Amino acid sequence: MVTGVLFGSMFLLMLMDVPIVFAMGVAAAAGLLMLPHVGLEVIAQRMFFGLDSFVILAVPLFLFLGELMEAAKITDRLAELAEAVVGHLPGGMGHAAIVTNMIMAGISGSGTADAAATATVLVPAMTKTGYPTAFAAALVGAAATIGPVIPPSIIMVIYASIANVSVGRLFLGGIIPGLLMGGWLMVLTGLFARRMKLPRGPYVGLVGMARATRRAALVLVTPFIVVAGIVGGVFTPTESAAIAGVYALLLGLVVYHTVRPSGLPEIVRRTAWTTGKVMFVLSTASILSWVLARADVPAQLARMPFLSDTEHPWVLLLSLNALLLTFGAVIEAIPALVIITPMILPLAIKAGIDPVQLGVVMTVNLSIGLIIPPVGSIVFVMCGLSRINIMEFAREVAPFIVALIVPLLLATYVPPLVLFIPTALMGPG
Amino acid sequence: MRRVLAIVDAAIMGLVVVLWAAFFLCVVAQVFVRYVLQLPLPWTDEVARYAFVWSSFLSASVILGRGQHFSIDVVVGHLPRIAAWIIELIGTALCLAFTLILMQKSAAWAWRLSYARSSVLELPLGVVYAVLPFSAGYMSIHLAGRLVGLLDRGAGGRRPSW
Repeated sequence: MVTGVLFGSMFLLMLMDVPIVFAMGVAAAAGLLMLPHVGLEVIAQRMFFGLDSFVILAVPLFLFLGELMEAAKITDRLAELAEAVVGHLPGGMGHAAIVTNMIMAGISGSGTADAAATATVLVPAMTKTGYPTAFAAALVGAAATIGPVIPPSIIMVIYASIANVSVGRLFLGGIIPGLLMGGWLMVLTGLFARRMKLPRGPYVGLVGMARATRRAALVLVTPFIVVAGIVGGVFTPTESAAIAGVYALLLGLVVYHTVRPSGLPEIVRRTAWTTGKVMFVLSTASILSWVLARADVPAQLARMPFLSDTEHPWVLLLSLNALLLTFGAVIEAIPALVIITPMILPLAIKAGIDPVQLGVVMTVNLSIGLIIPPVGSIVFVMCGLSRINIMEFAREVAPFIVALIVPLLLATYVPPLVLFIPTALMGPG
Repeated sequence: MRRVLAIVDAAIMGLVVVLWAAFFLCVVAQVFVRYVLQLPLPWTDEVARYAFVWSSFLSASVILGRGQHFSIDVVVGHLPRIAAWIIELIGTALCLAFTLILMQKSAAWAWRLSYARSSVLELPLGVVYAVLPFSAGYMSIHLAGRLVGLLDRGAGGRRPSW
């Protein structure tokens, strides 16, 4: 009963153009009123303590890193490097766009930030060499979905805080699936290049590649700062995000002179803006998850068809993926994540699915959701920056969305692809 | 009224930037002192967490005023005007009810804890928690403004964005 009211009212409110965060809050309050022996005081406490966690502090720092990297115009250097290395293949600029996004994914934690940073540089460059604009935007958008999968990742940090698993393990678990997504998109681009007769760039030779690598070298260090510190157990995710932030700040201010001290307040303001948006969702979601647990919703879900089948984890995983893709297509990744994780996690653990693997699968899935029109946040970024309408974008991005299901299924059904690196580097969980 | 809100918004965002910068500097200072100087610096952790919570709720209240929270407007956009108007009225009123309850409950909670102190800096926790009733109150003002605007323009008027 509580479950029905909770979800019924939440989805109804979302469709009524009520901001998602309030749909969650009002539904949770309605659920609270139906529970015996609890008062609405819970709302105040949960909202405050929902944010009072040390791991969560990494999220704004990664957002800051993303804003800094965009302001410091480091994408130019990465794109130059990617072009030198893969630009001479058939569909050269397309491959360069994918590789640039894979490197960006290793620096920033957000697919949307990657899309914004790479689109401004790559889409015009691709259009200039003869790519149709909508196709170029779709390709760059699809490549930007690798952002949250290759570490660092904001989605993973949030999942880790909800599911209480190691951020380091999740980060490492995303590496192979992320590379698979990139490799698979490159295969697809090769096929398109042949059919659309897309141009290839000149081969610059080893000297050219070395020169481009040297120009990008200082940027390429960033992923190691972020990931190595966490995995080595030297720094917490929050600390390494802060160190990477200082490093990026030094790069922009002192080394490249692309960021001016007078521009810093604006960068901080933009970061704080996004932080407020994301954190308000998280804090409201913590009322919701409290009510869900109190009303014993996971146990009720466990009796539903498909989800109840803990004997056959593959059925559970398939229904979870279908649910997430649908969910991710209509609401933003972070609200979807914070609503679904507390419900699905107990079921997955009961079915013997590793919570780290579940986290990576959810991350890949929700990242694909970022490019599903009409509401995916990468869709807005690409359409806005490239001045194309959503229908044009939708037509061009459709094959990429379908293609990305392949790495998603691989990550879902071949657990070693996810768990191999974390187990090898950090021991069995 | 709109001018006053714009000024308050700007003032709050100024405070948010300062708080966010304080949060960042505290985390950096903590890392530096712990790993380079090998000393503990417990107060930075407390300041970082509280500055972060403050800046998050405060900016969330300004974001609400600008209609920038995640929302889905495809359905309502396709409805006849009168239906869309009624739905917007109900939705806004429900949001307002939520922020008012949040304001009242969190104010009572902060008041009850006003004697308690934080563990390191001994900040009064009532002051720390006061960000919730304050932000909820400011959100209520924005929502009330939206409600009045909807009623004022009537069913035929342009739909305000969130």
